[in-house]
Amino acid sequence: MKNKWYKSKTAKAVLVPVAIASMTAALVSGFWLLSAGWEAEEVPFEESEDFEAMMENAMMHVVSLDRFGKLFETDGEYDPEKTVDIMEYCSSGDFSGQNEAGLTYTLGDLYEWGQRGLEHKESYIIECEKPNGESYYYYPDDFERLVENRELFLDLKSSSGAVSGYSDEDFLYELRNGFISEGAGLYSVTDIEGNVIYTSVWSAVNEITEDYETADGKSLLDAVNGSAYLRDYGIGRIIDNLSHTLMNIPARLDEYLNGDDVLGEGNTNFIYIYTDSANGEVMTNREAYQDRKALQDSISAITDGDPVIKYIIVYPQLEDFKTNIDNISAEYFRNLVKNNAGDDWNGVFAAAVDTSYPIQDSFFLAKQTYDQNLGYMNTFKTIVIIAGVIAIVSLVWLTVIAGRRAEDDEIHLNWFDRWKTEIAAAFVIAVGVLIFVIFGATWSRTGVDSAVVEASYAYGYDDSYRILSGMTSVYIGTRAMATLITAAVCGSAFFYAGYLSLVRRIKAKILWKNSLIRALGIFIGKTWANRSVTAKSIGLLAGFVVLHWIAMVTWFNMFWVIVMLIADGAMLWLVVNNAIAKRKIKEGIERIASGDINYQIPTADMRGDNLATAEKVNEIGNGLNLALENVLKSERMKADLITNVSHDIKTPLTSIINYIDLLKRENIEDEKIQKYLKVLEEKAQRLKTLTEDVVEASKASSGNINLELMDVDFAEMIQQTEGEFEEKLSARNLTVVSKLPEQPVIIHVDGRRMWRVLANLYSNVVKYAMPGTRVYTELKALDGKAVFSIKNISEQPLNIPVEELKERFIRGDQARTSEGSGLGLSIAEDLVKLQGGKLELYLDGDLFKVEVEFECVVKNATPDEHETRSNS
Amino acid sequence: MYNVLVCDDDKEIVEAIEIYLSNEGYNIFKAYDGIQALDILSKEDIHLLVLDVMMPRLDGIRATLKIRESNSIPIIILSAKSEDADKILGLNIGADDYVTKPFNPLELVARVKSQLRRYTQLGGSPKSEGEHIYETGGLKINDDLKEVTVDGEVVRLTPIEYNILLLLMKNQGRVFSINQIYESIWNEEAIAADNTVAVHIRHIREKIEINPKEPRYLKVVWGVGYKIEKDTRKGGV
Repeated sequence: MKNKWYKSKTAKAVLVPVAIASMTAALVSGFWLLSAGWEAEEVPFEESEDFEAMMENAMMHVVSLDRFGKLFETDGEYDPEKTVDIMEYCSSGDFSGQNEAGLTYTLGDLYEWGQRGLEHKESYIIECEKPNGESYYYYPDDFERLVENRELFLDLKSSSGAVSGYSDEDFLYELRNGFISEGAGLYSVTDIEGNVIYTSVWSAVNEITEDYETADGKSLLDAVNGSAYLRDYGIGRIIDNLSHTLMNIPARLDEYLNGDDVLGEGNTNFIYIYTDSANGEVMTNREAYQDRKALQDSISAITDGDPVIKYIIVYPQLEDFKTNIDNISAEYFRNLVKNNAGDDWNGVFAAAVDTSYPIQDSFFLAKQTYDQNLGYMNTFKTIVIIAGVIAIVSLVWLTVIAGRRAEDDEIHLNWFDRWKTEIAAAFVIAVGVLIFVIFGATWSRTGVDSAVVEASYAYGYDDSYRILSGMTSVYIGTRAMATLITAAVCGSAFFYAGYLSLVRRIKAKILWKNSLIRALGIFIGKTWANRSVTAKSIGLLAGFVVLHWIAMVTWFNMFWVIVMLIADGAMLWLVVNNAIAKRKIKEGIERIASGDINYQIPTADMRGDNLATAEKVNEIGNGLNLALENVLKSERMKADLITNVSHDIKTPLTSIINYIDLLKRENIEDEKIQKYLKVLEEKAQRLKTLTEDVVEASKASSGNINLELMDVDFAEMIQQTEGEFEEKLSARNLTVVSKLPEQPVIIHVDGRRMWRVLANLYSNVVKYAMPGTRVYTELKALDGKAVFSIKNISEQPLNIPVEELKERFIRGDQARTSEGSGLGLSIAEDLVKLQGGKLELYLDGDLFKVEVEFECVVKNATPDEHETRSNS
Repeated sequence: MYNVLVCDDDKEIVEAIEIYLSNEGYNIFKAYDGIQALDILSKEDIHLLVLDVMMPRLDGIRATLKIRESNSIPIIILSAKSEDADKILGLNIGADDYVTKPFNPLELVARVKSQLRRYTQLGGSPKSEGEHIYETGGLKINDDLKEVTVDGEVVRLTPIEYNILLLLMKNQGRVFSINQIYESIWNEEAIAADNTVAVHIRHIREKIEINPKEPRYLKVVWGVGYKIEKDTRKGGV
């Protein structure tokens, strides 16, 4: 108990909040570091890359403004009437104010049009091909009017062809709506005289809403049709160019017109002096530096002024480059200016920032944010390391003790752990997602202060301004921080709830056991098992075939081929397993049927129906075994009963026999009485035999006999028996013809029981053989079997079936009062069976034959037993 | 004049036995259970006891055990129990003979006589002398005189029967097969061996055994041969 403090309730009560708090701290600081730029160097803002980037963006803005100024101004003033040649602008990005290609708009029109946006109509501009291959364009309205006014005639392919009722209107409708492609629908367009005007007509491209006419007052198509160059260029690409122009010019113009708001004096801490050539006009945002002649003085004023003024002075030659900012690459800036101002740039570009930031512009804001973030950086770095270590330690600790209690070593589950695995997982994930969504939504409202980012856009030129790092652009306020912390607390709390539950499930080994998939699998398995065999086979086969079809239909898509191969393998496995199980069951049934009722079919690898069948067969075997045992038991009880009864009969029988004998000694003269006495004596003797035989028969049939098995010579035994019966046989005038092998025939039996068998057979002969006949006895050793046969001619006709002769109390001679009990053959057969042999009766007319068969013992005979025996 | 005690709970059987034995000149005492038998044994000078097994109060087996504690008179058990196990039990606890019911009265008388002769003669008389005397139980063969006696009574055997018995008596306990006996006696190869030996053996048994079907001396080992049982109980040679 003492050592289990680490998994006590108190430990958990402390650990869980610590774990959540540390994870929250690590998450929040980690998030902050990631968004603010954890890799940022700890340098003053003025030496940071962001400062350099802002300088660069501002400089590029200046260059752009210079370029735009040249574009948009006439004689140094903005000129909205200045014409823009669309084709020229789109190919060179410039316009000279001349009409070169034939399609021009004034700058003012373009500005307004661009702010409104270019609209495309549903209808199509119609393009026609003249016989000389030139194109000509129509607005659909115009084209339709010409056809209507019978100035143009359509020679439609289908008017003479298969599709009846296809009129000019149908064609024109399709033409307007873009369905007609080049060369389709008609043979030609002719004038009233039948001269071919156009060889082909088709829908070219969507019409646009032309809010403005060209600079020379034409519509778009008039302008295009009026210029061979434009017609050849194609109306589609011309409209694309127009669209491009409408997107670019207004944006540039905006930048140009609003430039002063950003870069004008009093609006920024940025100072610039820019000339595009050695003697060019001076561009600056400082009144004091306007004078072209005092350019060098102005630059010196910047470089030699207050050191808070950070400057970069760029000349075409690197040797003239000047700056008081660390880590500035002269070559980089020279190339930058040159690339944007033009390769022939030969002026000077002095850029500076007053780092005392008297004006609250984007530099000021960036500086403020940067300084604040720099202050936080170290704090958050420390927090992320300490909180991270604590979080990991507490996570490991909680993992180890999850589900454990101080008082025992069991796994304890709570109510949540008993939820189905997938439901619990879905719940935790859903809550996690919900937290994330809520956090995201709140964050976008209260999160990063984006003022600086916008300002940096303002300095951008085109869309290639340098992006500032999080250090200057990301500002996380109190509310944002609160949101972040709330989300992190909720998130880590739910993470722990889900994670620890997962750990407990794994520890208790219920992760899979308690899963929905498993439950579903079991349910399907049960449903499956309860289907009929046919339904099962058909279902299985159908699934199998469908799978192959899918594989074929999907052109042996890799996935389906793999699935198909798996299914093939599974099918093979099933079929083979089934075959093996069937064979095992068959073998088991055969063995049980052949009497090996203790046999049990091994069921280890079986499943389903085969398993059930095998178990039933095994049960049948057990049942048979039980039944047989019961039979044997009752036979034994019967034998005991008979033995006891026979004892009780023998005592009075003793007196009867003794007193009959005494009577006989009384010298009785009366012949009648002597005859009566003789009958009594005979019957008493018969009763005696019967009593003894009944006991023996019951014992033999119940197997209640202890056998003393040994190797004996069957031939010797037959000789001995014949010796015993010699007188009796002679008395009946029977001659025994016996044929015995020369070698000893060794069998493994109980000698005394075997004597009883032979004695019964010989006494049968004595009793039932016709006097004066021969009795043939023969012993043969064939194929490892010893077969003894004894044949005699019956005195009485044997008119009962052979099978009955062996049954108890059946005597070959129903009429005669012999001393036999009728049990002799039955006892003989039972005894032979008990000793592992076989006794058969044959009856052919009066010829009665008994055969006794035993397995020979394979044994090397000793030399002195190699003796011959022959008939008597 | 010998005193014979007959004990059986069946009075008629006792009386029948009394008649037979009285005719032979024995003096009969009667008892109807084990207790009575013990009582008479302690009072009278009894020479032989015929004892039933299944009796009230004290059965024959326990009575025999009791008697054998102090008395060595011959005991013939007379029982309806005819199983081998019963006979072995009876002989093992000290009975001298075992006769099963229903019995042949003459056989019983013969056995009584045999037991009495052996009891009285062997008890005192010194052992027979001579180099060529072989005996087991009550069977004795004197090769010098060419004489065979059973319980002192001379038995007449043919020369071949005599030779066969002598062979077996000389090798008591050893089993001889028919062929071996044939070769020893006729001194020729048993080419024409038949059941001659078996028939002779049977004749010998009929002469020396009280009940040839249940021989005491010349035993048949079925399927192996014949042997004279070695007497281990009453000091045979």
